[in-house]
Amino acid sequence: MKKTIIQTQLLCKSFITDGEINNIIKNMDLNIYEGDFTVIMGSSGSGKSTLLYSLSGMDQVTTGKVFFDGEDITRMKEKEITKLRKEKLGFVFQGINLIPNLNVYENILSPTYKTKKDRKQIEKRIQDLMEKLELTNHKSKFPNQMSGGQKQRVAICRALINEPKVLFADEPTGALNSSQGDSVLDIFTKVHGDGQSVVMVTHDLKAALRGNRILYIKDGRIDGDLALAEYGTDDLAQREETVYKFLKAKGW
Amino acid sequence: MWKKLFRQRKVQTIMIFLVILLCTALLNGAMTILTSIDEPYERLKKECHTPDITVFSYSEEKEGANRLEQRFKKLSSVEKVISIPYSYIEDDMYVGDQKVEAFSDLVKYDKEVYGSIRVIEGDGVIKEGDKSSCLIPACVKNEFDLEIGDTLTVKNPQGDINYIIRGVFVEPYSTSTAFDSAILIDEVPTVCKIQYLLKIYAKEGSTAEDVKNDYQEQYPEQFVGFLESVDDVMSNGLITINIVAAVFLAIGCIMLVVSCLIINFMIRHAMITDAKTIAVYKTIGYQTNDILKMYLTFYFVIVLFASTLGILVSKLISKVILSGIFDNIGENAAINSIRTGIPCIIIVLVFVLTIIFLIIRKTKNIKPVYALNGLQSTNTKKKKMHGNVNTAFSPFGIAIRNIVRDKKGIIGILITAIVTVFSINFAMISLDVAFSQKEKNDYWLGIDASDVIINVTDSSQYDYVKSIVEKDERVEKVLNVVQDERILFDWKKGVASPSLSTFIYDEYETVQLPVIEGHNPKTKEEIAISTKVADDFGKEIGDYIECYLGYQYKKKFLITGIFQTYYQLGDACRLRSDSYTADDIPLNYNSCSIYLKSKEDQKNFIHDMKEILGNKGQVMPRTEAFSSIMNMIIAPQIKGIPPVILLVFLIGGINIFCIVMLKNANNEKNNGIYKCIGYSTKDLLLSNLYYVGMIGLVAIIIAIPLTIASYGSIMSLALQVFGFKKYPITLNVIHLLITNVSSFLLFILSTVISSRSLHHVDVRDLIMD
Repeated sequence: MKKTIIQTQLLCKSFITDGEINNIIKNMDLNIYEGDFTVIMGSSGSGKSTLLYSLSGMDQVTTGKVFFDGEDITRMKEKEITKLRKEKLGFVFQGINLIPNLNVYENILSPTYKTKKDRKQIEKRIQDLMEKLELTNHKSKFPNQMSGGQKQRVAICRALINEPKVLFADEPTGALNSSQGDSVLDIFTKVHGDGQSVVMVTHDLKAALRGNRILYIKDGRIDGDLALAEYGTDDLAQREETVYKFLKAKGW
Repeated sequence: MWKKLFRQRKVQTIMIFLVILLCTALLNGAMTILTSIDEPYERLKKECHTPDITVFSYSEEKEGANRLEQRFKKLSSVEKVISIPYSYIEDDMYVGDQKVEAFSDLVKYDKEVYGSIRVIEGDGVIKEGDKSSCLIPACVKNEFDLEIGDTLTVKNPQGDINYIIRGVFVEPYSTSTAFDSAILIDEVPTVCKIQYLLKIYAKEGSTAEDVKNDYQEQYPEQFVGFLESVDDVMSNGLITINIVAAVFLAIGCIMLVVSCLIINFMIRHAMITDAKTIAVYKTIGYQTNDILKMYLTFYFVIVLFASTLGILVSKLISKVILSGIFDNIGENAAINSIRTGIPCIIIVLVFVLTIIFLIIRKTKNIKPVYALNGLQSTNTKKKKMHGNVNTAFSPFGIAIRNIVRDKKGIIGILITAIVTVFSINFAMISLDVAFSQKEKNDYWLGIDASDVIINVTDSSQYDYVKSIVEKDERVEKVLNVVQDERILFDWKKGVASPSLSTFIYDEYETVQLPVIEGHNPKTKEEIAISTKVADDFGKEIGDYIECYLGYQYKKKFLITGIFQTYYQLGDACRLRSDSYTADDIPLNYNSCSIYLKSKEDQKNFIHDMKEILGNKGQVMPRTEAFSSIMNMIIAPQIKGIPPVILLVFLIGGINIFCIVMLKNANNEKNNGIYKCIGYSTKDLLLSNLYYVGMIGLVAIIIAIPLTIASYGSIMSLALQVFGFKKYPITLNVIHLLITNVSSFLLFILSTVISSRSLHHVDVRDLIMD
């Protein structure tokens, strides 16, 4: 039986737009399991990104609860949320968001501030990650000297440096061209293969195929939950067809 | 459309508004001070039918004054000359127990001269035969808070002379206690040393200068008297206030320039964030000029309103400083800030809007395709940052990195911080110097640094007074001094003044009066002159100067030293007593400089001497000597500097606030990233505090020596009129410490307040981006 790493109870998230309450997430109960590569899909405005922010503690929920590794993050104060972000989760953005005045090495190193790990451990972790993500030769480069794909690899590396329980990704290939996107997805597959839990929002079918679970969000509710085999363990065409049929049935 | 910009730029609007308001207030305050004084003085001059020139005859015989009177009467530029008896009050004046320390003369009330004086309170006329009444000038009343009905006692070796104050008046020659102001009475008592004033009226179309030139041409010989024009008297009375205003003006200009730098940064930032909006305007058909007009109108309105309000605020500043001057001339301080305000607004508008225009015009470079798609080309190679993990990524490390890797950005904040700290230190040192000037009046007036001074007006009593003093066990030494002896010159064309005030000591080796060049006279053939005299006469060390001692003995002196002094506005020199005695020229000591064995005895010694000597001598601490001169120098500074410190503090604080606010706005995305990867708001705030703190420290480290090094030169420049070449600094370490700690705290406070936005850095916005 898989261990639940994130659990929501009656999760609601609303925004007030022009004086009107707009319910984006509606009473959602959801479990995300450890070791899964969960892909969240849905049409524009369905609430998939809002769900990702709520699950990762990046945004406060309106009502309901979110348990991350057993802890209710909706009640956490800034200090605790900060600790959670530093120690238990990593986040990869569509816009990449590297710190421009830090080079590759420093960007990756930046989340290690105030962690209890010693310098040697951190150094080794960085070397391993950079090797794995083929960044060793770019160590001293600044973000403005790199391609989008390279930068996103650095962002993934930074998200993984503190060995997070869950790696969140919001449209990580959205700003990349096809080949760069593929290489980034390969990395996600690789780290998932190493046992890393991943939660990724995407509207890209190719990206969705990398996951082993697809959640389809519609009007703030989970409209579909598709379990897939691990990527690479079945026929890719067959997998694509299964996902495509699932999404088509949901009106994608 | 421009009105819509207010909605999205509330903080920017408020900041620009405040900075412009304060800078305009400072600038126009200074300009108002500089321009508000002439008109009331001119009005007063006209109202009082003031004589163009007053001559103080030195001759104690009426004939001497008559001779001068006849000479002036013969000049074609002179309409009439009126001779009036007067007596310089050499001894103390009292009202009750209060000493009235003012340069004053008892002057016979002459209806022809004083019939049109401006009466402020009480009577404006002294009735013939009324020997017990006097009219006092407003400057004396205001400085010593005297009232109608008070009894003014003039000490005299022959016995006290009492007058009841019947009226308070103003006339242009009596507007400062630092210069001879007239106390009008019916007749000058015979117990006083009576001399004569000549009140000279120039003919219509002629000026005081014409009269002087005429006289010099016709009588190029010694002039046994002292001559001053009404314009000289008025401008002398306003010297310090003009200097204070000039310093304000300089600080105001500097603060405006620095503030414009900050406004430049703010608007540049706004333009970057508005690039997409501008691109949208362009895509829907707006021309670059339409957009320029929209932004310029927006900033024009802010600057116009701020500078207009600044003009109103400036009235308060100028009122604080001018009130004393206006009280002394009986004006209601109806300061007209608008007259200077309109040009000031125009200058500020043109200056600020030009700077704003230079930034805004760059909107024409915004290309919709690039802006709307977020495209930009950057290829800046940056340096690698070294350091261990905890330092490099601590808030301190982030601050260091921001400083090291954004050198361009740091220039603005560093300049602002240095200028702010410099201005505050400058103002504080000025205040310290002003407060210490009385204590150090030996330096500023060029007298010796004794503990006690006894002025003896009756020369026959001098030896007696000295013998009493010398007998006292508390006394270490007594120096014979002649204060304010007059030496005369052949007053011909090119000679600035017909006479100089002279301080005479027996020798200077043990007196140690400071000189800025050369040395004090060592022999009877030597003289030391003030810097102003050296400039006016075009003399330098090694030159000879010819003059008359005792009004008639012509002698030639070698100039061996140059010193500086506020005394007689710098018209002074130093001689040895043997320059007189060796040639049997009459000389009477009139002052004892007393050095005590222990300074702690000073109070008791003065008390005892006053009891023993009574009217035979005026006993006072040296620090109270010539206090009316020192008050004239010090009072405007003490009044004016604190508001300037406050304004500089406010402007500096707002500038730092804006810089940090901009930094946060520019780094909003980075701050969001830092928050995403586990940094707290506190970490980011700390990073800002370290950033500003380090810059503040560097600014303080640079500004303190800069202020100390440049203070003397700046003040010497400002005090050129006195011929000051060296302006020593009185450093009060505690005040300096408090000032700089306050400046530092100001930076920190501004940072904390402007960093409140860090709490609102929304990670969600980052993800949306």
